[in-house]
Amino acid sequence: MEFPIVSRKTLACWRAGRKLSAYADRSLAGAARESVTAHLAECGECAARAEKLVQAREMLRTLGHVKAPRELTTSLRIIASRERARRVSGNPLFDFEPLWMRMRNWMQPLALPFAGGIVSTLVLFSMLVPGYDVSVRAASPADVPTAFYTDPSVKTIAPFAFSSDELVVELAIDEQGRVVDYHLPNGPASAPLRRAIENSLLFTTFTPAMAFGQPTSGRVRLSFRRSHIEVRG
Amino acid sequence: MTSRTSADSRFDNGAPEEPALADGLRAGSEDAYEALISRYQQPVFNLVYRLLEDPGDASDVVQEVFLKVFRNVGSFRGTSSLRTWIYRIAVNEAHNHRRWFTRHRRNQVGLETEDDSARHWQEVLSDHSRSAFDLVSDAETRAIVEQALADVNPAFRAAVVLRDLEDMSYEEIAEVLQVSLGTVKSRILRGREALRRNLEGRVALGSGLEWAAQPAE
Repeated sequence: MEFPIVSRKTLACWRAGRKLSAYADRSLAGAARESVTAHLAECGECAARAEKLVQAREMLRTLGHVKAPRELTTSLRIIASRERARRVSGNPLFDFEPLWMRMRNWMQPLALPFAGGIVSTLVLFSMLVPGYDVSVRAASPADVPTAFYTDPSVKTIAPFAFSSDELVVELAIDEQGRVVDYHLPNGPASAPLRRAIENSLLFTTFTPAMAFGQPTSGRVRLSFRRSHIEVRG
Repeated sequence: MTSRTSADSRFDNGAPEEPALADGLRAGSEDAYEALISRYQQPVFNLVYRLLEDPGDASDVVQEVFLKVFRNVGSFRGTSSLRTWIYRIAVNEAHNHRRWFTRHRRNQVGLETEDDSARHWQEVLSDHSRSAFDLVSDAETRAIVEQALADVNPAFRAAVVLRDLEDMSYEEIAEVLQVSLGTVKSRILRGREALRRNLEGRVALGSGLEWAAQPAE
């Protein structure tokens, strides 16, 4: 590994260069100032750099102070008067003012996005709520449904069948679980079949529909299908 | 402001000492508030003016600085001098405003060509002891130096302004900027080197205040 060759002059320039700024504003004193002065006497490059630094500093100092506008004094006096009045008034919340101000500065950039988020959430939620199915089913037959609305259901079915292979019956159930009317959506049936349906419904029991925990009338559709077992052989 | 407290008597004659001034502010003394404004308004304005990208905002920032000083003087413990404490608030406020400016107003263009409100009547009146050429030359030199200073990195610029324009010691600058003494020295050196480089392109350094050749626009 090769190290770059640093001459003694370069090292001295580097050391002096670190102190040139302090030398330029005359804050360097004692031996440090003497060593820099001695180096500048030897090194023309550093001397020129030091001279330019001194001149740049002197040019900067010629800028002097920019005069404050006269209106500023008036504004500051108004602020001072208001703040002094608040301090003298002895308001107990005065000590919390810096904390409140910090909190406000911290929260202010969040206020608009926060409000926008809440509003858009409300709008979206109100648009989606009507589409939700909020009917609640009882977890067990012993449960009393308390929320919204539950459909009527079959409790026990009659132990005998009728002759049709497939039949759909739409029933109107009152609040006591009784059948008050029925309707055949697939079309009219023959008189013997209607009699068989009525006999069957007479021995079928129903659980009434529930609305907010109270029994109410409702409609239920029952589908009957003949099941049979084929035995071959 | 009509009621005067016992602290007022300390500000009746001459400039009050800093601890007394801080006590007066805490006690709500009218004279302390007035003394603080008259003592620090000009240097704080000058400091903020040099640190902002848009000097036109200096008045607004100075008002914010004094508002913070008035409101937080109760938390001033006196571990540093009142002057360095106020300057620290000013530097931080200018820094915050510069960040805000960078985000929001960099691309805005003002309609005003020059802010005459900051000029005192003595500046407006003609000075017969100097020629018109001298006056124009001085104004142009000042504009060049101001632009060269404005082009220096803000962190280095703050250190240079505090040292060369506000005449603060290195230790005081370290307190204001809340950095180590070594960092202050480094920032001042780098700031002055940057200023020297910026000026070299516009003014001939090394042979007095002579002009460098500039192409005609």
